[in-house]
Amino acid sequence: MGFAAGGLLTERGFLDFLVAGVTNPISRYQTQRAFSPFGREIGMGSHWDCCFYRCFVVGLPKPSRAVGIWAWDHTGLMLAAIAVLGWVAGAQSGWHWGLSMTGPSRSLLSALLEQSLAPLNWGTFMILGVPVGSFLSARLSGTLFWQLPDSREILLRFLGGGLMGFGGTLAGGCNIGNALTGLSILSLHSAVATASIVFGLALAVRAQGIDR
Amino acid sequence: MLLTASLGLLVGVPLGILIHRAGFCMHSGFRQALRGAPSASFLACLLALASQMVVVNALAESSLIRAVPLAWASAILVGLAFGIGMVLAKG
Repeated sequence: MGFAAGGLLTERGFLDFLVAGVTNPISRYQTQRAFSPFGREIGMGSHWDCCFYRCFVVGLPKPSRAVGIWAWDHTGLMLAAIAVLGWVAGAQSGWHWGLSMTGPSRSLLSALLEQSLAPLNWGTFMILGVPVGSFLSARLSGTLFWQLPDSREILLRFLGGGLMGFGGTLAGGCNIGNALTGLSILSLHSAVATASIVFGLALAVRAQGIDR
Repeated sequence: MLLTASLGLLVGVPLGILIHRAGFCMHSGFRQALRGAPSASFLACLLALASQMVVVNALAESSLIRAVPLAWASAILVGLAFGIGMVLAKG
């Protein structure tokens, strides 16, 4: 709720002046297409690959084969398959971006507020499917239970959600839309936004204490 | 609208199942990575990103996507706000 409210306030509410001020593009690609294969146009491909390999492929932890929870390689490949399916299925409905959370949360809330079907798009139905899928999965595996954090925690979560909606709206995507989808097409915008998200996360974690 | 809804749910429902079954959480994933211990979520995210990158770029010829202009200020400043929000909202 906080997430969608923050996003909608930023897009159309009292914070909307920021949208024009902050999201002014400073560079536009020459071509219509967002990318050329493997980042040729931003010249990052080979350097990234090298970093990626050095940091993450050498000395990776072995995927855990414990029963009950998916090993990371399994999760990663499944997630990639779903993400690619997102691109393909989305394109059939005029959604030319893969998985995303911020825009769809906004459109869901605005559809509810306006009581209109107009804001609904592929992304809205996609995020509606997420809690349904998780609910079904929890129900089927017998791990379903309801819980409510204490009131201070609820307030913090709402506030955090609002900040995520605000940031996600102005940054053109959240951790899914930028870090997972945007980076996959080597969008420089998403690379900067992802680095910044991680930096913001690190700042807040430092302020909170890392073990909390 | 019906087609859009079915195509959306076709992707959203499996994503929800995956998030539940794999315990996939980018907040805790990034958080543990900051601590120097790459968690399962973090590694899964990287693997998904890498595989998606290959496949989606390979599919690019079918012109599935459109240009995204770069907005520096928004990417940097509000990315920060988003990250802080992620920690507060634990999401």
